[in-house]
Amino acid sequence: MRAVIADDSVLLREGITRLLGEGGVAVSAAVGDAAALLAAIAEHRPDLAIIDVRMPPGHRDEGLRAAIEIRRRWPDVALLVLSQFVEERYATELLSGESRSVGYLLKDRIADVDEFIEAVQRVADGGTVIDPEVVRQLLARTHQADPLSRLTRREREVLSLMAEGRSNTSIARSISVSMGAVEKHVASIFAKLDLAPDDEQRQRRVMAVLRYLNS
Amino acid sequence: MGRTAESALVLAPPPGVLLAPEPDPRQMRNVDGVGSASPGDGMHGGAARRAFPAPASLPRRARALGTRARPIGVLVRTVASGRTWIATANLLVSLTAGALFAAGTAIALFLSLTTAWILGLGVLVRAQTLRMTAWMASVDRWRLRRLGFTIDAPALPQPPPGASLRQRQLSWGRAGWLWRLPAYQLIRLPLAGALAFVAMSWWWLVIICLVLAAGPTRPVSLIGWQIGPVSPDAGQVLLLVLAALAGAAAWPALARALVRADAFAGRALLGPSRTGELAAEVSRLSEARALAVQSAEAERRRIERDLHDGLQPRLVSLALDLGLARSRLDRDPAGARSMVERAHSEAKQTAEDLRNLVRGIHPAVLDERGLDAALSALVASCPVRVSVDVRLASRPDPARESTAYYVVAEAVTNVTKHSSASTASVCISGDGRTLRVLVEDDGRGGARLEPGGGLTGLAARVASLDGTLTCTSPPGGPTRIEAVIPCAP
Repeated sequence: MRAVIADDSVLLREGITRLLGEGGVAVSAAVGDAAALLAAIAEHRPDLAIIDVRMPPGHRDEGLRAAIEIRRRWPDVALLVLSQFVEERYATELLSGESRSVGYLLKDRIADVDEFIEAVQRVADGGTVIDPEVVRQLLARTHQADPLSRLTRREREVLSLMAEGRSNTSIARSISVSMGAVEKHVASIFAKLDLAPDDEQRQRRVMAVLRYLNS
Repeated sequence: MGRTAESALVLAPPPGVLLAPEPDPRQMRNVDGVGSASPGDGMHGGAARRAFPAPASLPRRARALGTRARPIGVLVRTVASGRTWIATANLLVSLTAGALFAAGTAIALFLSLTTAWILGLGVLVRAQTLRMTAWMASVDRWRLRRLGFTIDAPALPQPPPGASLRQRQLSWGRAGWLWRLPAYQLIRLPLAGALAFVAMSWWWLVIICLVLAAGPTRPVSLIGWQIGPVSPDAGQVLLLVLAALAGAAAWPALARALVRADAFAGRALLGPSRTGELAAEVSRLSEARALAVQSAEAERRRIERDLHDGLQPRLVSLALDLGLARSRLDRDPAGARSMVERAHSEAKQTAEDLRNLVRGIHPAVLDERGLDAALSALVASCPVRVSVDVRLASRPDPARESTAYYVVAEAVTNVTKHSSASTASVCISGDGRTLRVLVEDDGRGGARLEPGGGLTGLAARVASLDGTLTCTSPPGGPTRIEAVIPCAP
């Protein structure tokens, strides 16, 4: 697997390069701004792009806009957007097109080496990864507070993990229950929230949950 | 007799005189009427200084001179005095200037009205109209000052330092009290016309009296008027001559009265009005408040940027190195060890960055030990040699103290980054009423208050404390940045 990294901090570019090397991902190019990123994608056509949201020259949301541009021009490039602050609004914009092979994580997550590499693999495999912080923001401000209050504590936990883009296996491992129990929780959540029955296509499940929380 | 004529014609100032009284004919040799009024002479001050001493206290020589003066001589000198000439000439000047200025003002007002609905252009034209009439007003104030009437200029808009063109136009546009200036120009033309008409009629009557006294045997044509023929007897001739003389003698007083009428209009409309002053003060204060908010906002953004760009990546990278080390610990202890070493030096570097950052946000020593102590630490880290001289009668309050500190910090940063100077000096002085900060360097100059620049932010901060920040930095240097901040008494 080959990746292109865009981050304006040299220190982090080097760090992420080392980290990806650890996970067996080759880094084709590491660049410092959005224009160079688009050029590098055009040149290397990598499997994955890891993009910082805030980059020169404006230090605003250049990375996010570059990610949306990449999705439009090269839909088969997986995108993992990193940011020092996660905003549910940015996540919504990023996922508004297609949620396949998209990830949005707090930059701090790279310190948890194994989890980060797992997230990279998931995105590259076509999955969706949403930072728990974004899910927390969505849960906090969702207008659908009433149906959510019908969920049990455990079901809310499972809902959050689903929204992060995790598979049933990953959820089961994360909260230390059996696969069967997770499946039961998921079915119960979908029933309580009046969502269409669980789809094994994981990224569609994420979208359904996110759309629900965002509506 | 001479004494009486003198007092009747010259010495009796009307009650509540606005104009400085005519100079004593005894002093007339050294008084040319115009030059005697020094610029900026307040009329009250002028009147007080030129008040006549009681005749008893007159020096002997002067008294002797006065008694020798003949009525005709006094009359000629009075009528021909510089002051009267100036007053007479003013009628003409005011009429000419009035015609020109009124025409200009009328055109400008017409343009203002017709463009008022065009966004942007309307503001521009209105601002330019006010600027033009403010210039005209300064000409008229100068004219009236030559006549002995000092009128203070009203407060003109003071756009904040580094304001854009549009902000400057808007600050003129908001100065509603300045519309008295175009109003003056429109009112002054008919006024000047009326005054000139009175003056001309007066002299016209004097001339007619003289012509009639001459007893022309054939009709005399005077600018279209037919006079005569008349044959006055001796008594009538005497009466006519006396009337003409009285008319001429009264001219100085009349001329002064006309000038007073002119000055009255000027004083009413060209000077500062209370509403105008208050409005100017309110506008200045709200600008200062906006600047204070703006500079606080800019400061917050700068801190966020410093933390985001400087500190956060370091900490994330440190955590990443430790994370990598942990995952290697079992399979590759040597690799893990080198990563831990790396993380260790990164942690130390981060601590240093954090220390600098915190000092940049607010140096604690400033609160605890004051400007001198804080500045020593500041210039110690500067690669350019900077001398510091702090002379304060008393410690300024924290807001002024920290503003002074940041002015120096920003100026010294600029010296280091842009000036290529070899030495710089910081001089802070305060007498309890004003805090003065002066930073000079021997660099290549070219520093400017640019919108969004660090210096401009500081100028805003200084302005929010009613102070001023000036930057003189010609290309080639040297650069001189001075902040003057008033302190509460």
